Amino acid sequence: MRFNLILVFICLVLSSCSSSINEPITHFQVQTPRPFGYVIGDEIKQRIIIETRDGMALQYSSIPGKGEMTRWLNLNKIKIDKSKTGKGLRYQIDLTYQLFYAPLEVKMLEIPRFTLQFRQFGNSIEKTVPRWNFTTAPLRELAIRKQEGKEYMRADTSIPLLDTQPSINRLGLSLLMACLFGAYLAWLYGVLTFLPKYQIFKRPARQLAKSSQGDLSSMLDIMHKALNNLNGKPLFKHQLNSFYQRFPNYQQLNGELVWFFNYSNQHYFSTDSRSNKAENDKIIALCQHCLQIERGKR
Amino acid sequence: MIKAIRHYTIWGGLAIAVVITLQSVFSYYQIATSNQFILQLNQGKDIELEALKKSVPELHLARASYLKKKHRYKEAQASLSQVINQGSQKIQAISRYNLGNVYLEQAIELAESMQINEATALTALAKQAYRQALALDSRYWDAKYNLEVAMRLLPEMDRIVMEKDDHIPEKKAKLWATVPGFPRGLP
Repeated sequence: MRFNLILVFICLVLSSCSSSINEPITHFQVQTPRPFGYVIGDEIKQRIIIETRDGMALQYSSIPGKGEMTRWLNLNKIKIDKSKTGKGLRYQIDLTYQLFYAPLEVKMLEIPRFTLQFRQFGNSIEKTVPRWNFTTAPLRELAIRKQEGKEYMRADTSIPLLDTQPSINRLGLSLLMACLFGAYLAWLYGVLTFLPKYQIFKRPARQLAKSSQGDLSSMLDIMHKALNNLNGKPLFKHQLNSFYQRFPNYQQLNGELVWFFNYSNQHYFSTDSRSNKAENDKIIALCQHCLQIERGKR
Repeated sequence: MIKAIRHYTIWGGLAIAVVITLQSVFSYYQIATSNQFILQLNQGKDIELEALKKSVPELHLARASYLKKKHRYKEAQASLSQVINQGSQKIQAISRYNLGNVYLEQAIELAESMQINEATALTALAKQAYRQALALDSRYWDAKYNLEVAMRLLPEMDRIVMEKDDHIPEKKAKLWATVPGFPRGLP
C-alpha cells in the first residue's frame, strides 16, 4: 500500500514535469490598444507575442492576409519578427488594421478571431487569437444642411508651395566649392596678382616663347632674373644645393638647371659662344618646367 | 605624377562644382516658376496649358482645384488622374482626397437634380478615393470627414449570409408530449 502511494506520487511529479517541458506554446499574449474612441479611417494596432518550444514552426499561411477582412475592416500591414530565446522561439506578430465604418451613433464593433497554426514533426497545433471589441463614433451629426450655413463637406486641401530651400542649399554649397577650387587654381596659375610668389615664371615663360632665336642674351637674362626672383637673391651654380633645400620641388630639374648655368657661363665668359635653336628650346623648356612646378603640375 | 593627378583632380572638382551650380540654378528657377503658377491658380487665374507639360504634380493639383471651383469637373478629373501616383506620399494622399471631392461635389449636384443613378456611381468613386487617401495617411481628418459624408449619402450594408452554424435548428417534436388537436368526445 505504502509502495503504491510513493509510485503514484512519483508518477504525478514526473507527469507534471514532462508537461511543463514539452508544452508547445509556453507564452501567448495579445496586446491591444484602448477599446474606445475610434472614428472612420483610424488605424488599430494589434500585437501578438508567442513563445514556443524549439522547432515549432509558425504557419504563415494561418495569419490573415493583407487586404479587406470585412466590408469595413482592412488589414494594412503585417510584420512578423522571429527570434530565438533561451528555451525556444519567440514570434512577434504586429498587425495594423484600418477601420472604414461610418456609424450613426457610438457602436461596438469587433476584430474577428483567427487561428494560428504551428507545425513540428508533422504534428499541427492551433492557437486562437480571440476576437477583440472596441467602440467607434461618428465624426459629424446625423444631418447637416447647406442652407443652415454649415459646411456639408470639407473643402479641397490647398496645395503647398514647393520648397525652394534644398535647391538654395545645394546652390550655395556648390557655389562655395566652385569658388574654392577656382581660387586655388587662380592662385596656382598666378591670376591673383597680389600674391607675387606664384607668378614668378608666368611672365618669363611668355617672354621666352616670344623671343627670337638670335636673342640669346635676353633669354638667359630673363631666366636668370626669374630664378633670382624665386631665390630672393642672385642664384649661382654653386648655390644650387642650398636652393634645393629651400625649394625641394625644383630638385627634379637639377640636370636642366646645371646645364643652364653651364651654358650661361659659356655664353658670358667664353669666346666660342654661339646660339642655336635646340639650346634656346632647352631654355624655354626649363622655364616651362619651372612654371609647371609653380602650378603644382609636377 | 601624383602632383599632376592632384592638379587635374582640382580641375575636375571645379568642373563638377560648376555643373552642380548650373543645375541648382536651373532647378531653383523651375521651382520658383511653379510656385508662381500655383499662386496664380489659387488666386483664380488660369495658366497656359504649355506650363503643365513636364511640370510637378503640385501644379496639376492646383489646376484641378481651380477647375473644380469653376465646375469643370471632367477636366479636373483628367488633371488629377495624370498625377494620381506621382509625388510624395503626402501629395498622393492629397491628390486622392481632392479627386474624391471632385466626385462627391458632382454627386451632390446630381442628387439635387434627382439624377440618382449617376450620383450613386460618383459617390462610390468618391468613397474609393477617400479610402485610398486614408490608406496613405490615416490621420487625414478631412478625408475621414468627407468619407463619412459619402457613407451617409450611400450607406453600405452587410450582406446577410446564413452560415452553416447559424441555421435554425429544427425543433424535434416530442412524441406525444401534447395531445394533437382538441380532445373530442366530451359531453
